[in-house]
Formats: sequence, C-alpha cells, structure tokens
Amino acid sequence: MALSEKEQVMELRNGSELVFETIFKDYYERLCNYANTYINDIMESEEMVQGTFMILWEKHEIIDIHTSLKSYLYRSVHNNCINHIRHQQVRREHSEEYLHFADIGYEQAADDIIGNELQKKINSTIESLPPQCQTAFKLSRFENLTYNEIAEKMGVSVKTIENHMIKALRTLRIELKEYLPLVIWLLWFKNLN
Amino acid sequence: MENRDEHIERLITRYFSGEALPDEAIELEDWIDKSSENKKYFEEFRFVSQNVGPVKKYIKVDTIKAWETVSGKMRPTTKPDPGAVKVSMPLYKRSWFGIAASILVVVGLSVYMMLLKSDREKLLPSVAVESNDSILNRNLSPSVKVAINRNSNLTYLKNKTGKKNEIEIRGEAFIEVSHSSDTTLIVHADETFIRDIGTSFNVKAYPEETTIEVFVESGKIQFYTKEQEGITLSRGETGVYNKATKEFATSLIIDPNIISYKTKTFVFRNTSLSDAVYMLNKIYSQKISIGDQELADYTISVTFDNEPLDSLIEIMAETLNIEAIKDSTGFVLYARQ
Repeated sequence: MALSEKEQVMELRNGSELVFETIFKDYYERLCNYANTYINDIMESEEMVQGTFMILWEKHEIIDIHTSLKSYLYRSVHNNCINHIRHQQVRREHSEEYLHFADIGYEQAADDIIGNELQKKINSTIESLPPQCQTAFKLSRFENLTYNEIAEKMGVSVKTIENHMIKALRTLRIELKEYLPLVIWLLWFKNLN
Repeated sequence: MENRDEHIERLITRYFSGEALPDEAIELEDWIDKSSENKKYFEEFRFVSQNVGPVKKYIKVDTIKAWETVSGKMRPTTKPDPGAVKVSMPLYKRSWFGIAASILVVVGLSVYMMLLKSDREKLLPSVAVESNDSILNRNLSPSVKVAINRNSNLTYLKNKTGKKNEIEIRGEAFIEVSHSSDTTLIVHADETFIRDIGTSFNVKAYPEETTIEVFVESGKIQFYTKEQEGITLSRGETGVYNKATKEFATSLIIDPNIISYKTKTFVFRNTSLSDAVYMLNKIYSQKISIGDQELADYTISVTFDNEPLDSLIEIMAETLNIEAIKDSTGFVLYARQ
C-alpha cells in the first residue's frame, strides 16, 4: 500500500524526509526532461529541478498545495524555465552573434550523431515540406523560437504555427521510420508478448 | 484512433517544441505510462526530435547522485510549531496573496494540530514500501531498520510523538530495533502481532502460506493474536503460528538460512543440490537451473558469506566437479563429461 498523494503532502508538512526522498526519486528524471524541452541544457535543467526540490523542502512546513503535488512540481519547474528563458533573451539581445552561433550548433549537432544517410533523409524531408510549414519548423528547431515568436515573425496565428509544427513532426516521423533504433522496436515487441 | 492520435500528436509536438504547459506534460506522461505501445509511439517522436536541430536528447539523469547532492543541502527537520509563522522573507516583499495564504496555512495547521491532540493515539502512515522483485534495506526511523524480502510489502506507521510504532507486513521482512527505552514497536502480520522488546527478528507472513513464522536473532519478543496471549520467544527460537488451527508452537531447530535474503550468507550441510539451487534462486535475481537430472541428488556442504553469484557458482562447480554454463538469464549446471 503506497501513500496517497494527500497523505504524502501531509507527511511532507510534518517533515518526513523519507516521503520527500520518495517524491524526489519518483519525479526527478521526468522533471529534468520536461525542463530540458524548454531550456535545452542538461546541466542547467538538473540544477533547476534540484533547486525546485530545495525550495519545496525549505517550505515544507508551510507548503500549501491546492491542486496535486504533481502539478505543483510541474508548475514550479515551468515557471523556473520561463524565468530562465527571459534571462537568456535579455542576454541574447545583447549578443549579435547569437543567430550565427545557433547555425553552427545545428551543423555540429547534426554531424555528431547522425549517419550521413539519415542526415540526407532528414534534409530532403524538411525540404519537401510546404514553404510556410518549413519556415515555421526551422524557426522553432534551429532558432529556438517559441510558437508565439514565430507567429509574430510570420504574421500568422499561433494556431497556424502549431499546425505547421504538428505536420512537420508527423511527416518526419513517418519518413524516418526505417531508421528507428532497435531499442524503440523492442518496446513494440514487449507489448506483443 | 485518429482523434486520439491527433490530440496526442499535438501534445507531443508541443512537448518537443518547448511549449508544453505543466498540465499538458502531465497528461502526456500519464498517457505514455499506460502502455508500451504508447511509449513506443512517443519514443519515435523523440528520435525524430533529437535528430533534427540542436539536440534535445533524452536525459538519463543520475537520480541517486542528485539525491545525495540535494539531501546534503537539506536543512534538518524542525517540528512544526503551530504558534509561529515562519517568515523567511521580509514582510514588505510579500504580496497580499502571500500574506493571505500564510494566514490560511497557519490557521489550517493549527486546526490540524488541534485535531491531532484530540486523537493522540492515531497512527499515521509514514512510509509504505513494496519490494516487488528486489530485496530492500530501509531505515524506518533512527531506531528501526528493516530488510524486506522479494514480493513483500511493508507499511510503517507511527503516532505523533514517535513513541508508538507499528509495522504491517505482508510477506517477509527482517526487523532490527535498537534499544531505546521509551519506544514500543508492534508488528502486524496477518492476524498475529509481535511485540518487540529491543531486538532483531525475522517475520515470514506470505498470504498464500499456511503458517506465520517469527525467528528471533537477538533479544526477546511476544508473538500473539487478539484472542490469544501467544508465546514468548528468545534468541535463536522460531515461533510458528498455524493459521488453520490457530495454534502457536515454538521450534528450536534453527534454519541457518532463514535470513539469507538479508545477509547473503548461506550454510549448506549435506544439502541436496536441488534444495541449494532452490534457496539461491529465491535470493539472487539471476536464475540457476539444473541441466542434468542426475545432479539433483548431489549433496553439498559449504558456507557462502556474501559472495557474488558468479563466484558462488564457481565454488559450487569446483566442489562438486560439475560444469556451470552462463546464459542470458543465469546459470545452468551440467555433469562434467
């Protein structure tokens, strides 16, 4: 019988380190990955999530969780990410070189891990996308802009950008299916048994 | 199918574009956890995402190491004091919402503490552990340590003062209580209770078995039910309760391997190979099997003290002059040709 979330919160308020440890171990990896989707920096993501937990512990006696513990944690990490990005943007505005740097980042990342054949396939798939969709996707992927920023830049609605993004990823997933690594196939076989 | 896919596709795209709101991330993760088919679908998108553009790789973080970092920085627990407001920030920096929230919390805490006072004996679940397929060691409190055998679960309850502790066990666990005068621990196993008097003992109470067994390694315990006073067990004794006849019995025969799952110490004295293999298989996660039937009756006399399975198998093979072949799931023993 595991503790319910309500009991966990109650125990946390009483200062149970064991419960705190359980919560930490249950959520740490997931939260790091969630943070990383925003800030794309592994070390920074880990530090941020650790910081979030430190604050939770510091405040455990007065913590007031109205919704669920899970959404409290995700919301905290989300807020920290948004703040982090704001700081980054201030810095970015002061740095002319940023876009140039982003281009290099793309080339390097691509060369690092992708075989030539897969790389060609990715490029040709992106090139085959409709022009608007292609532009939106590139701005998101290679210049790290948000849906909002892309929408502003292209003069269309956020909803349109979202649809472009979905279409681009969907197409890539289908086109790259034969390159999927074995580990992903294994998940499928596991499911069949 | 299409509808579900469209919604999930939107969530996944948002996730990998750094747009997923907290609730969306939670919804997506809950969906992924539902089946390995879902997980595969999600992993396909991850594969695409991390190969296109600046890498947003899946982070395989070291949670244990991170926990060490965080727990090292944690300030020690202080008992909540219902009368005091903890002000960690100057008041002027707080928004009205913050102040209002604090007052609510303090009121809430006070009411909570009052309720607790009116029901002091109420035990709160502090920790619940399910061992599933592994053997776990835990410190439940500074004075209570447990080792939990496979497929067992244990719930630890304590009252506010920490003076009265209770453990509920389904399955098997070894419990060590250090002498501390004013703490009592009661272990609850099925319909029986065990009251400890500063001691270490093993409780075996698998629901599917017909008996409940308590082995006392040191100290003294009382083994009883609601209706019966039961028996007092001292060091080295094993108490057996028969669930069908509701009878207690004391056994003086010591099974030296009763707590092997905790100590990884095995004592075999003219033990048949099939019995030895059976015992080892209960403890180690890699499995041993006997390839040639004639081997089953070989007997073995040996003591293993916390050996890794590899060397343990090697010693057994040497001693019996047999052959051990390692495969993906474990070891198979064969007669030497």
